[in-house]
Formats: sequence, structure tokens, C-alpha cells
Amino acid sequence: MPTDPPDPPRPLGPDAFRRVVRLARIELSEEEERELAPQLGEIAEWIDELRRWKGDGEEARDTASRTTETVVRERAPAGLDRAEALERAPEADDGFFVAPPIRRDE
Amino acid sequence: MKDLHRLAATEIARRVRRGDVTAEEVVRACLDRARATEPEVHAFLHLDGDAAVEEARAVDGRRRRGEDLGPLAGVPVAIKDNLAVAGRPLTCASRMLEGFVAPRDAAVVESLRAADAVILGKADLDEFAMGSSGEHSALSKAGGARNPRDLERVPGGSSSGSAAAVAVGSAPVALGSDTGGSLRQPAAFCGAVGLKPTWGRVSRRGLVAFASSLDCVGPIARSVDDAAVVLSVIEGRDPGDATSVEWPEEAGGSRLEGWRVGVLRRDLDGWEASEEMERSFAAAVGTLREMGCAVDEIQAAELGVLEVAAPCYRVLSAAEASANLARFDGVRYGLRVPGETVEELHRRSRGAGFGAEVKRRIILGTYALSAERRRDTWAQAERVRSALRRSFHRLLQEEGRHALVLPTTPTTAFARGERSEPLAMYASDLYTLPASLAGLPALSLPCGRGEESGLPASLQLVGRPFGESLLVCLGRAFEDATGREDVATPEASRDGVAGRT
Repeated sequence: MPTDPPDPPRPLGPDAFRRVVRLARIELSEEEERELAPQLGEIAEWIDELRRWKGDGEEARDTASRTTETVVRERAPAGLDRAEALERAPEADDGFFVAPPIRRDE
Repeated sequence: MKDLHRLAATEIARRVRRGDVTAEEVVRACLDRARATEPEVHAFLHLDGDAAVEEARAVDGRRRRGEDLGPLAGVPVAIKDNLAVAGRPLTCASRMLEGFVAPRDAAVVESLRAADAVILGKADLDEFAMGSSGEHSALSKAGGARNPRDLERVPGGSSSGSAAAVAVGSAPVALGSDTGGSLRQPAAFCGAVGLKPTWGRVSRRGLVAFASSLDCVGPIARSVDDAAVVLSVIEGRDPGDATSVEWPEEAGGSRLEGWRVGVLRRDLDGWEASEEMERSFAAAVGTLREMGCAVDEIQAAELGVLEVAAPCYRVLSAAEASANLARFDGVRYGLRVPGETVEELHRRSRGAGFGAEVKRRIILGTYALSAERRRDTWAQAERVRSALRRSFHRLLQEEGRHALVLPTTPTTAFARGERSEPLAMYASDLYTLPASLAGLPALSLPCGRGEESGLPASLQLVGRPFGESLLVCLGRAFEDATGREDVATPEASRDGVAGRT
């Protein structure tokens, strides 16, 4: 007999919010953080309704009816050449995209 | 020729092919209409009149040389600015992509050109197609497009500019995208027709991805026939998009006898429509009965899944958005704000480039996919989606209904600034999300006016997979029985007058 998972802590408190923002790689101003943190907390509580849904006894599937999977060969269209790609780069040098080092001490 | 901007797309193409009017005359009429109304409506982010006239002249030249013209000969089309048009801006109404120029045409734009349509301009949208009001455009100089039926009201979103341009007569048809209702809801608010195709029927190559398992490209028009002809041009398997498919044809027919239509009763907490929308919808259902449809009722609560459709959609679309928008990192294209490390550059660029709603969704998606939450949030949402698909399959195929009907939106167009809280805004998509989650085709069309607001009310027909021809047949008959919305006149809306033919 499956049992319900234990109740987790409040879905998205301030610490969890900051951690998720860091994972999302988005810098927020203090003002944005003050506005977004409670909004996201409220949204996270709302989507928590999903946990309470008991299901219909079936597993997740891609389609409602049984279908035959078809493997479609994808034909990649001609891509951009180097000059076209670099034309749209925020910063390029000597035929390459320019990015800062991964770590500050490199 | 007077009032060319009022003509239907099918009529424009017929006249251009016959030589009764030139494509250039039609395009100039639409450009004149846009110039007259844009100061109030703000439907376009980029309107390149010279390029459009040049394209129209090319179509006229082909006719003079005796070449056969396509089904959209000389028809001006507004393109939502999340679809690529070669050599034109592609911004998604975001500071992140301000100044970006598309190197290629989207597949649907290639198809339009092959049908001799003319690309008129790029229509405004909620940033990255995330929004339900049109107020979340970061690049609109006016804070987003206005509803031409009432300039104090929102046009809906995210295909806000596409719907506004069509309703006001700046373009007979437009392309938009629909992830959770972004074609149908703005079409409904502006008194236009919106057709979301079955997922996979239309290629998404060249569409800036939001939530790939839900995104669809489709038309907004002023009549069902016009929406149908645009769909017939853009549909079909595209080798450049592995998710586009061929499908078995389903006969549409022209007789409505024997048609079974299920009315989805909205008997769930939070699912109530406004009283005026309920009255308009009840009258529309009465019309369907008079047309010969056998109508029965389905209680939404009995399905046991629709009550969680909205959080399911929010989780799945946000999770996919967080992955799709990871490409905007300040390195390969788009806005760059310098940083000392790559991570700092990413965080600063994304912090400065994305607006508040996009940030909310990326953060929510990251949360839903985090190790602690993935199982009871994202995976649970996938289970809900599967159950919802099974429910619709039972209602349509197993129980033999040709379509399900419900209003497109719970209310008519709401006032600008009225829904500043995200959860209040998300409620406007409640009736469009189920068809998106189930991957089904859905047609939204006007069904009279709200008695109190005087604004367009809307009827939504949800069909079987690849059953668009059935929806078009039913929608066309409904339109014949009830009439169509006329081109909006913003000056008349100020005086409280609006037309319906």
C-alpha cells in the first residue's frame, strides 16, 4: 500500500528563493527581490496543489491512446557560417566568441 | 478602391489573382490604416512599409508575367515578433534581443512567401510570449498594444499585437503562437478568430521556443475561412522540425446533422465565468442546437483532473522555459552586461535583459526542476497532463463527440492595470490551458457582445487530434448563423459604438 510522502517544509521560503535564483543565473536588485520573493512563494504554494492530486492510477505517457512510435529523420538545414554567427555576437575576436574566464583567478 | 483594408484575405487573393486590384494597392491600404491607428493601438513593434511595398510589387510582377499566384496572393500578414523573418528584427519584445536581426525565415514565413503573401511587419507581444494581457512588452513605447474595441482595455496576450492589428484592419490576417492560449485569448478579447492547431501540425522552426511540448504556431483572422486558408498554407511536415508530422485526413463535411458536441460545465472552484459571459455562451450553445448539433453536458468536476490543470500548466511551461531561455547568456547573441567571470556575466546579462514576468517563470521553472522538487512538482505535473489527455480522448474519440465547447475566456477584455498580481493574471488562461496540455486543436470565435461591457464574448471549440477541418466546418456554420465582428474603429470605441455584421 503506497503511503503519502511526508509534508515538505514551506515550498519556497527566503533562503530557498535565493538559492533557486542563483541556479537560474539571474541577478535581481534588492527591489526586485522584495517584489518577486513573496510572489514566487505564493505561486509555489499554489502549485503545491499538484502534490495533493491522487491521480487516475495510470502512469504518465506521451499520448492518450496507444500509438506506434515513429522515428523521424531530422534534416538539419544549412546553419549559419562563422561570419554570420559572429555578426550577432555581443563580443567577438579573431573569429571566436569572447567570454570571461570561468573562474576569477584564471 | 475604398476600404481595401476591410477585405477578407480570401477576397484579397481572389481579386489580386483576377487583376481587379494590385497587391501594392492592398498593402498600401493596410499601411495607411496602420499609420492612422498605430498612434492609439500600438500593434506593431516594427513596420517596414518600403519592404512590404517591394514584396507586393514582386507579386504583381509575377501576375503580369502570367504566373499562377498562390492562395494568399497579395495578402498582407502581420507576424508576431517571436517568429523569424530574414533581415528583419526578431526581438520577442525583450531588451535581451533588442537590435537582433533574424538571419533566416521561419518555416511558416517561407510557406507564406511561397503562397504569395506579403510580410507587413512584426507585431507586439508579451515578452517571450509570456503573458495574457499584452502589458508585458519591454520594447513597446506605449507599454503594450491596446484593444482597438476599447483603448482602455487590454488586447489579451501573448499575441497582443497580432490580434489588435487584425481587429483594427491593419492586416487581414496575422500569425501568432499559442502555448497556453496565446492565439485564442487575444483573438477573443479583440473580437477576432484564433486557431490553435494540433501540436505537430505546423512547424516551429524559426519560432523562438518558450515551452516546446506546448508551443504551436497558428493564425488570427477576422473570419473562420481566413484562418482556415492560412492554416492550409503553413501546415505540414517540415524536415527541419522533427516534431512536425503528417496526419491522416479527417473529412470535414458541410452538414451538421449527426454532430455531437459536449458542453464543458465549469463547476469547479475558481472556474466561474462572469455573468455576461455565461449569458453569451448560453446563447451560443442555443445556436449550436438550432444548427442541428446534438448537445450534451459534461461536468468538469467529474473528470477529476481539470482542477489541477492550471498549476500543471504553470509548472510544465515554466520548467521548459527555464531550459529554453538558458541560451540567452550574453555570450552568443543578445544583451551582454560585462562581468569578471562567465557566471557573473550570465547573471548580470539575464538580470538586465529579462523583464519581471520572464524572470518569475524562469525562477519557477528552475524551482520545479530542482532536485528536491522535481518528483512532486514537475513529474507530478506530467502525470496530470497524461490524465488530462486520457480524459479528452475519452470524451472525444471513445464517446463519439466531434467537439467540446466552452467559452474562450472567463470574462471579456479587462482594463489595463487591473490584474497586476501574477495569480490574478494567470486566471485569464483557465479555459484555454486544457486544449494546450492535451495537444488538441482549438478554435476561438466571437459569440456576440457582453451585455454589460459591450465587448466581444467568445466561444471555444476543442476538437480531436488533427480534427481542424471539423472545427472549421462547425465554426463557419456558427459564424454564418450569428454574424462576424466588423473591423474595429478606435474612434468609435471612444464613443461607445462598435460594429457587428
